[in-house]
Amino acid sequence: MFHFSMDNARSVGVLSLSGDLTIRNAAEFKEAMANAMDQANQLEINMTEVERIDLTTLQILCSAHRTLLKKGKSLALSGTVPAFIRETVQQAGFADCAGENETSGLWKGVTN
Amino acid sequence: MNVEIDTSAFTEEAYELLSELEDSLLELEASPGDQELISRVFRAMHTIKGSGAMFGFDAVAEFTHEVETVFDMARNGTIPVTKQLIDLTLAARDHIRALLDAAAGGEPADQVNANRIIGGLRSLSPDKKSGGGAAAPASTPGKAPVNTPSADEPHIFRIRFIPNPDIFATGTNPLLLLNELRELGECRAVAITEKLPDFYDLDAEVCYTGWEIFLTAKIGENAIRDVFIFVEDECELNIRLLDRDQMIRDQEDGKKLGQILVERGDVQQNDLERALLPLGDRLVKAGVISQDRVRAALTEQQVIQEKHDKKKTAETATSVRVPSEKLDSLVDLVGELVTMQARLNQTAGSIGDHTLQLIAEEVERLTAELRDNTMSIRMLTIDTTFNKFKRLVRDLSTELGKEIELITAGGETELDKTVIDQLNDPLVHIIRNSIDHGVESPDLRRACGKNPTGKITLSAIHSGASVLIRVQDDGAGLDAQRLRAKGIEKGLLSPDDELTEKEAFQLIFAAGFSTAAKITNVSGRGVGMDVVRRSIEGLRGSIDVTSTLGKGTTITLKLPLTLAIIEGLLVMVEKEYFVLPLAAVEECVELSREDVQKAHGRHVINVRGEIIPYIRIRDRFEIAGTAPDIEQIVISEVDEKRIGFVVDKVVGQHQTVIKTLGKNFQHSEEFSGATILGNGGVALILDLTKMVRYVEEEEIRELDVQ
Repeated sequence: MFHFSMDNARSVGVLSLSGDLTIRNAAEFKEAMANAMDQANQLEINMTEVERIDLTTLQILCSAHRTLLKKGKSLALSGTVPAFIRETVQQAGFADCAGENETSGLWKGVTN
Repeated sequence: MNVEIDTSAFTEEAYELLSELEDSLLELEASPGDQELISRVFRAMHTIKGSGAMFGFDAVAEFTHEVETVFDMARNGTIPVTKQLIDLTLAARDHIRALLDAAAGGEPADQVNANRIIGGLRSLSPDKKSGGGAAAPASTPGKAPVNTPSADEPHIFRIRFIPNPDIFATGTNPLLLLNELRELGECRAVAITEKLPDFYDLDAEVCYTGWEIFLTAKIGENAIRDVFIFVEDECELNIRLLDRDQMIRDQEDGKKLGQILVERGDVQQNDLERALLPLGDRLVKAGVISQDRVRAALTEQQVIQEKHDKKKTAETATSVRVPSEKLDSLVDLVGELVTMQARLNQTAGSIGDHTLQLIAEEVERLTAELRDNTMSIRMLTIDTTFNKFKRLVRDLSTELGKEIELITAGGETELDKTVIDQLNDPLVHIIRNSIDHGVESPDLRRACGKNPTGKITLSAIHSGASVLIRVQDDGAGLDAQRLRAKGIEKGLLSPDDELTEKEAFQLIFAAGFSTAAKITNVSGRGVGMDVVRRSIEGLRGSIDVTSTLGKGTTITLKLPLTLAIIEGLLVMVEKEYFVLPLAAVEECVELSREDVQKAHGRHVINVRGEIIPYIRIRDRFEIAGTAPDIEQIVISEVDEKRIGFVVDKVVGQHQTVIKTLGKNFQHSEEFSGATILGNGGVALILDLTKMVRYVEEEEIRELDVQ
């Protein structure tokens, strides 16, 4: 469900997520995120295999993103983001939530 | 320099507004309390007045102003909507029409009548002195605003929705609520995440998010509240209608610099937003507001702007007025093109050049599309015609002391303009008949145990290449016995003629036939229904009557969708070509010599156990030559019976551009026209109904002689 791998040379960590990512396992997801955030300076999240998300997912990602930005670290998405996730982000009005500008925005290409 | 103003745009619009006005008034009569309808009436009059004055129709503007003034009082609730008010306003509507007709060169409008209407309207107002001074503005700034959200125009709502932090615990998913809102209309949500804490303080199972949602929808506030009904106690909810008038006032009074720049085209909307962002940033940095609030505000602005833009385009791009002659000549040209294209196809086929054939096929496709497009431009919905009858029914039933309700259905059905134009008079006759002879007086209806209010249903429905228009009443119905007796009395039948019920009903279409005991000025002179039949047949349509004594009558008109181009079946007898309307054709079967012998000289054939009579085109038109061994029978449906037409050869489907026959051939009623073939030859289009009728009559005559 949560798989973390680290490219030590570039200090890029990739957290690959899969399956359901909803309130049922929100605590575990937060845990996994916290872990990954500690280890990597540049964190990438791969959501290609994710099947369901909800508001808790968006809150965790959004909060993590802001916190990392404050610390001078970065959070980005890698791989393809499934269309339903983009849609949920757009419908929930999170599109440029932490993305004050085009470079740091988490959900690039999605607008409210 | 004298500037010529084209006033036709105004008059056309005014006529449309008048019919809208009439509809609204009639609806208002049914539900006098409907604020929305009152506003609609008011708006229609206001527009007529405004554009009338603009185009120099001062008489129209002045008169309409008087009516509008009184209706404004009704709108503000100063005076009630009464039958008297509606009667007067309807009369006023007629007078405005008369004024317009007069301006277009018609008879001058009746000033006495106008004074009577205005006098009547003025007497309705509580302050009898008001209503004078035609130049005074209709709406005074001090009047109470009418704040009823109209149903036909969308509103923008701003919904602030802040769920309680523990909302997840109840199993509620706020995103689903947003989805529900989305079903109500166009919805844009901006998440307000200012309460979202630093990641390390975040509780994954708490809801920190709130929303500002902008919903553009044709609904009321309650419909929105309904969405949140189950979470009412678990959230903060604030719904506000973004007042349209307020917005417009804002825009007109003091446009913001940015807006002016955008409107002048100096700055693009996007650039403006980008420029505004730094201001938001500065405010955010100053700690005045959060990032999300800025985004919400920008979205709000955008949503309003979008609606405004949409309205503007809707106003300019919905329709283009074109004189119908231009359309007629376009159809003629397309008709010629279709003919030429058939020639091109044939030539390309005979030359056998592959490239040429490809081009011919492409041209064929384009021509077909062009034809369909042109035809669809000429298509009009029938509801304007239907709506006219509301007034007719209202006026006539009042005059005759009857209570009749007109119900219409299928008004959105489309028909060729020419068909619609020629449909009006026949329908008037049929409906008048229903009102006068069909529906009984309220007393009689009560005595029969019926609802004292009679019902006439006017409906239209598509059926293949035809449209069925039905006039149904729940009146007395037709008495076949009485019709028969009357037919004998008028010498249309001989006393020993046997008639089916259906044939008896058809008698009502005979010239000079009326069973009405007394002649009213509505109907009963016996000129109506035969005119109806003639005009419907002129449109290549047919009429069907069904009736149950005591229960009511239904008259169904079957009309072709279009008159200019039809799909036909091209057939051949010797060297002559004929076209049968494809809509009527059901199947083709072979007729061999043996089949003919088996029938022992009768013109019938057995098709899968069904005996079908046939007509030989060869014999009918006395075409010389011998028939081939195997002939073809085209079986068609004529007057709900299956009848075969024997030809030598079936050539195939043919795009038939109908050309009317020259004067010398007008009496040949068996042909509904002619068409030009690909090879330049001419094919006659058969009018199957008429042909069958002639053959039947001839045979009956022959039998009589024997």
